[in-house]
Amino acid sequence: MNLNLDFQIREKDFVTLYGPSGSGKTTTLRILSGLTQPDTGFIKVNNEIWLDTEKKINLSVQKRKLGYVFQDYALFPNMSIKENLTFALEKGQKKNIIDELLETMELVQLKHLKPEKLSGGQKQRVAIARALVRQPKLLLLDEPFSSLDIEMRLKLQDFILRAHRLYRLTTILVSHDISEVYKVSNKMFVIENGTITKQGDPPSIFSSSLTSRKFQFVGEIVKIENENIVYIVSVLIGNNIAKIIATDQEIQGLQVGSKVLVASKAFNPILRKIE
Amino acid sequence: MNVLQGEISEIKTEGSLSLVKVMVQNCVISSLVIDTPQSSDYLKTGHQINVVFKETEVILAKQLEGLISVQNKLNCIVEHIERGEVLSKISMDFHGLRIVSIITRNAADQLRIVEKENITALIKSTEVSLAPYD
Repeated sequence: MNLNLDFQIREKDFVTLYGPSGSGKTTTLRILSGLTQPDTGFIKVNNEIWLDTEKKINLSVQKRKLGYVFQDYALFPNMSIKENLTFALEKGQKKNIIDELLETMELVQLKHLKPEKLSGGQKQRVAIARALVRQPKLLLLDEPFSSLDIEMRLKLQDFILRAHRLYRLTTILVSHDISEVYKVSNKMFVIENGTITKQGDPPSIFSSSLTSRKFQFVGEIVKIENENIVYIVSVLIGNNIAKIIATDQEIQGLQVGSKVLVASKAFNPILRKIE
Repeated sequence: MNVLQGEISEIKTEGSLSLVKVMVQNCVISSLVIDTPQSSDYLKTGHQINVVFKETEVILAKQLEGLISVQNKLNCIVEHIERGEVLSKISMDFHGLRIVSIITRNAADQLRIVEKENITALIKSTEVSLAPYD
């Protein structure tokens, strides 16, 4: 398969690369980071050329100012959490960023533990903190939450969003979780068979099949109850559970864990100010 | 979800709101949407479109007379009734298309709905969505 991409990302965007496995999403991150060499290519970040195969420019992995978080945490097992972060410091870099990151990612209590003592979600928080030690402007996330359960995933999405805003990052996430894409990113590229087939903001890409709906959300089914005549479907939308009445025909093919679009007309919701 | 195929026959716009009339089996179904022909490609007279509304938004009436503000009044024939303790599900034939209504069991009993009889399905324009063909 040929990977052939041409795209631009604005500063402070949170972008998702979305698409089936094997479509070239991870390879794209690897090329951006310098871990994989493309046959030909050009990468420019903030007026700095990282790659220009024509002019034989190719910045090394170390010189590209970015953070990279993988699906498996890739932490050093023999070092404590704090040591894992300290190890990532550049020569001469001030150490106060370590304490700040421990605080931001709520790792202060855990800083003296070895990675093996941590849960999957805690390990991934460490991996994110470590990726931010050199204060990169670009953060690459390769399906960082896919091995975690839904609750942990939601929590980590919040941490990522917090870091994205706090450190004014430009973030590129690889994900095929629709609700995740909706929640975190403001722009997405759909990559299929090595090319970008769609791009835009997540609502306009996912909701094309229900044109006149102005009141719609993407969520994940957490419970389906049969109530005679109708079903009550509980859907996790963001951090809230919504209950939706559905018919037997509507729930066909749906099960707990299914991603669904929840849509209504905009005319009946009630707005009320909360103090 | 009730889904009926139709064709847009008329669009009236004011500000960001449009009242869209769709011909379904020679009957007009109207839908109020927060879209305009300028903002949305699908809003064009002559366009094929699906009319979508929830079963629980379908009001039923028999021997309906007098004035009523509900714009969509569809003459149907009752095909099947399923009765629960609280709710009832009434499946109807609308010129060869299927429309389903879910109303309370009390309401169904009061209307004394029986199979094969004529019945009017009423749906407010604000509850009708428009969607392109899949």
